[in-house]
Amino acid sequence: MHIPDGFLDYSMCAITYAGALLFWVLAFRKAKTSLTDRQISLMATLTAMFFAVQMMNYPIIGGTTAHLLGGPIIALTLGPYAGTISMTIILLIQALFFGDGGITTLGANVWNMGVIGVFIPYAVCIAFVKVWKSSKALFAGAFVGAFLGDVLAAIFAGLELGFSTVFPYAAPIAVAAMTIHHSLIGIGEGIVTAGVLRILLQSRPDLLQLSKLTQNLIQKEGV
Amino acid sequence: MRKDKSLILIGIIISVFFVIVGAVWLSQSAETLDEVAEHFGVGATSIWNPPIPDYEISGYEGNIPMNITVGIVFTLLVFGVTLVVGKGLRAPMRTENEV
Repeated sequence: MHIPDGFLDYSMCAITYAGALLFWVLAFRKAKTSLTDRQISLMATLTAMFFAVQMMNYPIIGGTTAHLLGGPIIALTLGPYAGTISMTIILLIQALFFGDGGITTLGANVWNMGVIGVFIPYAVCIAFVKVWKSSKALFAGAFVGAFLGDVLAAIFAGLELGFSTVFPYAAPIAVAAMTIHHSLIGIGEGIVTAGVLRILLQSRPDLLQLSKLTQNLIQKEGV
Repeated sequence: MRKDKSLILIGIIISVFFVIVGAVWLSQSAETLDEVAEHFGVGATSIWNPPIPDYEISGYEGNIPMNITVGIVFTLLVFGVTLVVGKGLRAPMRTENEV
């Protein structure tokens, strides 16, 4: 999903940079008041882990490959603001050192994977817990949220490409091409997200940045 | 504190495992966007020449030990950068007891 330089019009680059900038400011302000030393260690570990995970390309359909993004797990364990910061660091290093994603398109890539791919899973998971109020809803929400986060990020990438004149597609074609493949990636992301969340809740719930409602549920039902 | 150090160590070991698997078995990348772009003859026009294009050092393409080394070095770099950014972000006197 990493959009390289040259695929987007400069106007699209500017719009997506503006969107990403807004969330960078928000993320740095919020993370400042919410992260503890221990959570910063976990954030660094998870960021490094998902940088490594993104090097594993597994085959999907039509001769294409995919990799997990990791944004949903970081968002659900440390909050979406830490997730945006983590994904930005990964995307910046990938673009600067490896040419994976571009410099002019960094705003778009951060918007797709570091904002949409992080805030949607978090919001969906919280909504599941608020509506169904059970620990099962937490894991179901983690799965659905991660899936939707991946798919919506792909839809945004398709729209950015489709509305750029340098890419010879109409938006619906670009969106369809991106969405079909990323639905499969989303299923994998959902399974891994729910699984990792369960392991962390069982082993180190003290490290997680969870809402009060979720914490009460875990205390009441156990996980 | 000891628990935290163990967690970091486990995380780094798992990351190294992912790097090895990625370099040895799952290194072939053919992302949807790249394939579609190639099909329609759209090419990337980079404004920046990355020092390690496609995660391989020039002259060492296909060299698995070198690719693993690059992966591990940059995984540790990502860990370090995130730690520095995180520590820089943290409010100066914030402690665990405040949470």
